[in-house]
Amino acid sequence: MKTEKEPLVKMVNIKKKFGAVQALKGVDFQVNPDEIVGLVGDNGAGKSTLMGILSGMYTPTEGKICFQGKKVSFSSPKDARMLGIETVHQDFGLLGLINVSRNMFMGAEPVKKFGPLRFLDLAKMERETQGALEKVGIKGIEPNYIINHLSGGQRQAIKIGRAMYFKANLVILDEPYTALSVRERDKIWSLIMELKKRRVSVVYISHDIRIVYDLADRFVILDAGTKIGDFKKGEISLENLIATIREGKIVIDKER
Amino acid sequence: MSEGNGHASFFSKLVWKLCGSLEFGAAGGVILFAILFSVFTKGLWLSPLNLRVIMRSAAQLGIIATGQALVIITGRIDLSVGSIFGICGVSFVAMTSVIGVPLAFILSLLFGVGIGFINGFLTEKMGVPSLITTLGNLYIFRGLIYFVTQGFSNALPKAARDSTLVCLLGGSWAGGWNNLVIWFMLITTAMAIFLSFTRYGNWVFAVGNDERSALSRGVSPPKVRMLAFIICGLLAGFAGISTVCDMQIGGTTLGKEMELESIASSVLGGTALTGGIGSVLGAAIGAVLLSMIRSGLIMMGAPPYWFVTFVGVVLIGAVLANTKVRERFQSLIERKYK
Repeated sequence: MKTEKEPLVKMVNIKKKFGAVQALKGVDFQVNPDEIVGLVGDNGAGKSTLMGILSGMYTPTEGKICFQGKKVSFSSPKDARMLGIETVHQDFGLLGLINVSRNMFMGAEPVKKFGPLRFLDLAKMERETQGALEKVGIKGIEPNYIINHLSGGQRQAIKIGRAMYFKANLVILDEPYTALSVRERDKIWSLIMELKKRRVSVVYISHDIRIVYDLADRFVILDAGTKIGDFKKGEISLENLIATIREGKIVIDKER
Repeated sequence: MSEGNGHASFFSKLVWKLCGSLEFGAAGGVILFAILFSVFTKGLWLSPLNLRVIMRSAAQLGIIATGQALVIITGRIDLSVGSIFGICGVSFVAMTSVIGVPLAFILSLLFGVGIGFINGFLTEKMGVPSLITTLGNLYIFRGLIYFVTQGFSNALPKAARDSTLVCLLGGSWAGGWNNLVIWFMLITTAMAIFLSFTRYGNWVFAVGNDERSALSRGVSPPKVRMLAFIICGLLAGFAGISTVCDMQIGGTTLGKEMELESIASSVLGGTALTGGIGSVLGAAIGAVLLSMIRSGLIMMGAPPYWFVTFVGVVLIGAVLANTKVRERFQSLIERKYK
């Protein structure tokens, strides 16, 4: 009989080299079902590289990835998406010159068959986009709006709405708050809460440690391509988490 | 709202949309120059014979331009299309007497596809910039054209001229309109539908717009661009073969400078050299515009070399119209209808 829930994702001994640079030096990382994991570390710690591997953007030089207990390998982001791993990148993921509905379904467009030919089901794309955005409370965005005409907050909201529409099991949020106004941050916060309510696992990458601390159930700390800490929320204070990131080694206040 | 107002709103919306479209510059240019040349030549320019001549040369260029626009939208460029046009045309002429028309047609077309594949492979798999890859192939295959023709213009053999396929590709139909014009229209329509209403079309714009974002959604930029180069090679080859079927002769100059004219047609039609924005319909209209200008200037008695200068002026003017005027209209549309 199982006593613990099987991890949704388990990455073992992940190494990644870019030319002469060893970006990851054998990192173990796991995400459990219904869990929000805060992935933190200073610049160059390897957070985005690790999540790049999990989202299929990079292939690891070494290491193993298991999804729901089964070993998997991703040759492209499409493979990760097939398993329900969606990524909300900080500064990319939407095509600025293309409209919302085409962006929503980019890479997974519904088609209508006319004999041997396949044509985009544009009506369905618009209808579903409208419905998906309304369902998560994103108002004021029409499916035919061009992405470049939208604000940063609206764009992030579309990316999260898209992840929800495709019924993601795991959403990787890479600095979703960067360059957003206060009101837009509130909207994104409510969308992340919506993800939590829907029991979607989340990996949250951010330099804003206070937000990560409020949001996450567990914190994984990377430094220079190595995992230096893995704490549940009650096991580390905000101050010690910040100090650990700053020092590059575990700092636990003895008074606690 | 009254019905009258409803119609007015529909038509004004339509006019505003058309003015803000990518093809606005080229379409406006066609109308403007049609009026100017008709006035300056006292209506002679509008004669059916001249219109047929214009459309015949527009068709040759236009078929290439649709392929060029496709490649440019993906964020690459193909400078070898003129040489592909030429080599496919002259090898078709050379092969017909040996292996017959149908096989010569297939092999020549495959030659175009193959060069497109080489362009794509060197650019996308080997990382050589498309400007260099296709410039190299421009020279390589222009040299091969000289080798195949031995510096002469070679006529299509008599037996080949009478074949059904040659008549279908290069013959003419009622009213003296060349079949090439029909091919041009069919190909433009098919390409426009292909780009607007298929998954691949969606990916073409995505890859040209932002490679990393496209990749993050599972779209493979190298695969999309490889296919664009192959289609471009196929279309250039088809245009070259059809042109020799029409003219019944192929020589060393076949397709020369068409690479730049095809780029000019695409840009005139609203395609941005930065990628992500463009229209094959616009490129086709751009080809018609260039062909009109060539004929109009000749009819007005201008020396042929003025064509090149004039194209430069029109190109800059149309690009300004496309960017500035379209931006203006689009911002007005947003304010009016959002």
